[in-house]
Amino acid sequence: MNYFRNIWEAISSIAQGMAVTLRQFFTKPETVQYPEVDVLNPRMPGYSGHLKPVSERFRGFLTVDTTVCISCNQCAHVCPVDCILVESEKGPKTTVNSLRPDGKESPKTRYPVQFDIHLGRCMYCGLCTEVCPTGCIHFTREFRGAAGEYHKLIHHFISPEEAERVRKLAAEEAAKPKPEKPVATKVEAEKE
Amino acid sequence: MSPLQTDIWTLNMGPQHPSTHGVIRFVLKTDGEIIADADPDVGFLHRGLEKIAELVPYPSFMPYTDRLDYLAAINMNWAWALSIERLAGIEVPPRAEHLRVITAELNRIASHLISVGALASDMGAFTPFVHALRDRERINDLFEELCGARLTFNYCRIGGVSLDAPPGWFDRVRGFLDYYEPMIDVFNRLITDNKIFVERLRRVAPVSAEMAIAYGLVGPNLRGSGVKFDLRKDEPYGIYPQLEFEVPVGRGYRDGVLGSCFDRYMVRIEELRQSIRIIRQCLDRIPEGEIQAKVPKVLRPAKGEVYCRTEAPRGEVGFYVISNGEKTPARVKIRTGSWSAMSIIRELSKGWMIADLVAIIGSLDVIAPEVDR
Ligand code: SF4
Ligand code: SF4
Repeated sequence: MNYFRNIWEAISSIAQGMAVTLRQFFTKPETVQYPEVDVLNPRMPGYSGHLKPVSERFRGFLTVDTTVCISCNQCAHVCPVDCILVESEKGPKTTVNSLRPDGKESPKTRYPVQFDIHLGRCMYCGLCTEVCPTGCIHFTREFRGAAGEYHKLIHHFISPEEAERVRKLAAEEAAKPKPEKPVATKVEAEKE
Repeated sequence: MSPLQTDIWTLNMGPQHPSTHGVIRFVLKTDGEIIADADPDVGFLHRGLEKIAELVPYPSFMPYTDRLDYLAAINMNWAWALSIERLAGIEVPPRAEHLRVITAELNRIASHLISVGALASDMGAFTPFVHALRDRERINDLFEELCGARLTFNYCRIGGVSLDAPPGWFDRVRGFLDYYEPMIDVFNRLITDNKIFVERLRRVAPVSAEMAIAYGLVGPNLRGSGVKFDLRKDEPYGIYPQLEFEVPVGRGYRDGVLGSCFDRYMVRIEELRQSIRIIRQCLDRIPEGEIQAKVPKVLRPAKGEVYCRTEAPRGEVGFYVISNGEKTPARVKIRTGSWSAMSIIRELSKGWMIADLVAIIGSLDVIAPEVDR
């Protein structure tokens, strides 16, 4: 008798599970065919599941606004995997407005001539964006960045022309008669 | 006529076997289908996290703790933050404590979902795994709104958390809980009640309470053997003492043997409900205020050492940190739940079938990054 009861229990419990599965046929799909559907586009045709375009705070690739960066090197120092390289020259003294919501002013005397972020190493932890006093290094919502070659993952944020311009500026600044100021020095971003 | 002779065979299981949950390899000695010995070969995912901890400053080690157990990153973050807070004597603001509990319990749900789903899929039922992942995806969405990442959250900070909840986030968490609570019953109908599933687990590989303690099992694996030990209750940290919840233990569910694979599975299912209960209480009472204590930019804790353990989804995770007064720790030792679960597999699997080994691994919820660090 037990034998038949077991069989009956097995069949009925499977049927119960199948009923749950069956109900899924009448619900909206949960997934999208990713490369065909642009998930960054809010109006995804034919899709009504829970998936939303990436959120406001999404930690995608890093970008940096080099006109605001004061080359303080804090981001490079906090980064656990050493993927930021900042080199700077001393230039004329100006002030910049922070990109953070408070918009605080900071004095700027150092100008980056090289700002590289190695996205192949970056683990998108966000520690650099938290320490940056001006908020100029921040995440974008971009996450599609396959590259054919490894070195293409190193993003250079300062073009050679811009670096040349800053160097010239720095040289002019250094040439100015300023007895108390030392000449511009290079700051190596690489930690030991 | 001489009796039938059988040879002992050596069989490799893993490191790419789908049910070893990551890169773990077992060298099996089998007598037909019966396992005579299962020798775990670990180390495929060794990243030297303990050494890395000695090289980076205290706050910069936080993202590495994500990788310690990528299915429960917040619990790992919290354990590290708590260790350093104890070491340096930092007081965490109440709002941050609440946010930590909410996120950690959400993460526990996400992690248990993978665990129960993966066990079902190891048993040959793939659909429950997809159902579990679907619900976990919603938790990931919540986390993405909160901190921007879907897997390696890096959310806790020494002295608090990194970001406050965005507007409307708590309502969305509540919405998720309302959605998810009935889903547990649906999941139970889908697989837990399934006769075949129950029969495959309920008498397999029982671990007695003494054996569990002797092998140092922790977390749901220990509770599955009927030992009521939960660090959230027995050695409370954070705001857990102010919250009401039960500690589910195994009791031979479905006429099975106490401490069997099915008990461990059921403990996880019941913990899902308790986590929901904890989150609801936190949502009701979360205060306004700071989310980050004042912590010096370059943290140099005074000379000393600390061992701090917390309850992660895979059991206790403990950090033993020695400080020399420098900005990097002098030594960090990490103890995780999967490591002790790994050590019992050899003893436990003797005499069971190869197919049962899959159930044993799945029910112990061993994952490779925790074993190897
Ligand atoms: S996100 Fe983390 S890993 Fe990436 S550059 Fe910033 S600090 Fe370094
Ligand atoms: S922390 Fe910010 S301001 Fe300082 S060097 Fe980095 S990007 Fe520039």
